[in-house]
Amino acid sequence: MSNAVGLADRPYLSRYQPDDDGVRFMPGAEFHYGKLPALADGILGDRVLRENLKTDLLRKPVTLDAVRRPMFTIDELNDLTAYWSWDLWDQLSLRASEGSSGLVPRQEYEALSFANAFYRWPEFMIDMTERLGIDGIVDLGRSGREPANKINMLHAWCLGAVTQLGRALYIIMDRNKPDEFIPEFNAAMKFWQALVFGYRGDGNLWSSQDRYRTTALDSEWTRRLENSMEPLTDDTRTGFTSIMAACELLSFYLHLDCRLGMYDLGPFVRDNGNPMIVRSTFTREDIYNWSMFARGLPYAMTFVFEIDAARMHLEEARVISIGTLMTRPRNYVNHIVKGSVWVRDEWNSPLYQISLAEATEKYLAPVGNATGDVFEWMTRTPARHLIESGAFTYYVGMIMPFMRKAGLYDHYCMNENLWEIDQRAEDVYYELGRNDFARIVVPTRLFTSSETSFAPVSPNARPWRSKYAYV
Amino acid sequence: MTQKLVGTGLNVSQHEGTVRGRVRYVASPADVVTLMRDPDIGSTVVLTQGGAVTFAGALLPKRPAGLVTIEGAPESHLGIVSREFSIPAVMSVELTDAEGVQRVGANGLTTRDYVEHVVSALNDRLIEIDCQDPDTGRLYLV
Repeated sequence: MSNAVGLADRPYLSRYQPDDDGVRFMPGAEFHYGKLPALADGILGDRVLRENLKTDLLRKPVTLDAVRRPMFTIDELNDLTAYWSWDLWDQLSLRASEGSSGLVPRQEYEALSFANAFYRWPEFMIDMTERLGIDGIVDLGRSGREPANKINMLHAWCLGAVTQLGRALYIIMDRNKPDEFIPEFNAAMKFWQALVFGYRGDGNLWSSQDRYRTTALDSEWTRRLENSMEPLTDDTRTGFTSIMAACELLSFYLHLDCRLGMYDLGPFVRDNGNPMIVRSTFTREDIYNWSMFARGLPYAMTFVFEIDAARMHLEEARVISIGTLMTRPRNYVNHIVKGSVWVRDEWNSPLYQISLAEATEKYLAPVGNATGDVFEWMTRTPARHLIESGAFTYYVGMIMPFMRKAGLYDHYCMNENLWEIDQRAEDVYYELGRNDFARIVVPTRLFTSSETSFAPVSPNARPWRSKYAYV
Repeated sequence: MTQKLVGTGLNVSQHEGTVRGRVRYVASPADVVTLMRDPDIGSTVVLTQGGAVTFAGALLPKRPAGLVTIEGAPESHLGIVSREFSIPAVMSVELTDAEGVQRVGANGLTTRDYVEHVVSALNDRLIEIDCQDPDTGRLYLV
């Protein structure tokens, strides 16, 4: 970066100074977990939390040797659980009050998917690790270091987060105890760690550990994307943000109102001091039958853009682990000054650049039509079917990209009943719907400070303890 | 024309000036489909209860004049997309009336009561949305 670029007009750059504690996005809010001190959101919360954990697992970047160890110790597992608990609060409580959907019963399907994934994922994760080796899992993560790839931070994060949420859900429902299913829990955490280690390449497991940066692109890609951007005028910026928003909207609909359909990378700090963001949207996903409404659309469209940080007086730009850019001030859209559009036709075909004019002419109307069609399909679909479809969007959709890249997705579908719900998860389905349990009790317990839901494993618990009996 | 402040809420993104439109409450998916096909949608302020994108989001490409939600936050999916469509949006609106600020929980108001209260105060009324403040959006009855 040039010396001419000052921190005074681009205060967000100060966030990358080692002693900077960042901006509070939730002023006054505190997170409480066990005996840890009260934690703030953002860079400060991450720092204080890591300083107070019991082990040094998260105090420094993870090494490949550590990833290769077959299991976490109980203390390490508990440190991870504490960090996950804070991380979920830090990322999701900002948007936890979305309220009722009126269309997609998201809280209900989320809870069902947490319940199912907790029991079913470890088997696939252990099988994949046995087939590929732990280094192979690291390589699998590394293979996603390009735009418009579902092997990304968001999907890897989901594998860890949903495992934690599933465990917490069963604890809240008093179905499982904190000291049960330890080997399954441990295997899922190791799988997530190996993927993130390979993907990020910096030894951090969350973007919050790196001051909310996820810049997981090989340098050749970063250079190509930087060079691809063209200046936007007031008129062309509206065209750029419109096609981007249209694709985001379709990606939300295709993924049943969840974020698996889009992710941001960045901020990449350019030589002029401005941040570059790489936003990918998945506008077709053939594993879902409702994706037929997107027939003929590309698999993914990527939007690369530069924000004028000085004009915006940008104080902080976070790309949180779930791949969402959040800024203060909030509105960066009016300050986008450069952009480019890229297309990937199939999940495994090359990414190529198209002009904004071509993107608008060729895709804006079809993307809008597909969005309307998926909406109408939803309005005609019974809630029970939407809950099941949504639960599969999470439980299958989160792990599928890794299976597909490893050439195992079809095998797991045909031979291992991937698209099936474990009976123990199905058993809690009706309980989740009763008295608004999934809609109100679960989010309240999961996203507020509580050591009782994200419960630590007892220090003297045996690491191989699973569930001995269903009583 | 006189204006009266009728509510405030979380401003999704700053916009210069103000916009006006007639409020239309969408309560059901059928309401959304009807409004999607209404040629007057460009002069309509959409009022909806929740902040989830799959419900009212389908209206955004049709460019309504504004969006007001009773629940939800600017970081929600709906907030993010409305910002990128450059549609002025105010979320988690709190009514301001002679008795002070009205919100869920205040004076024992339940969510259902509050929704009814907001709908009766805003639906079918001509309002002006002021999103000039970075954090707070303001609604005025025109």
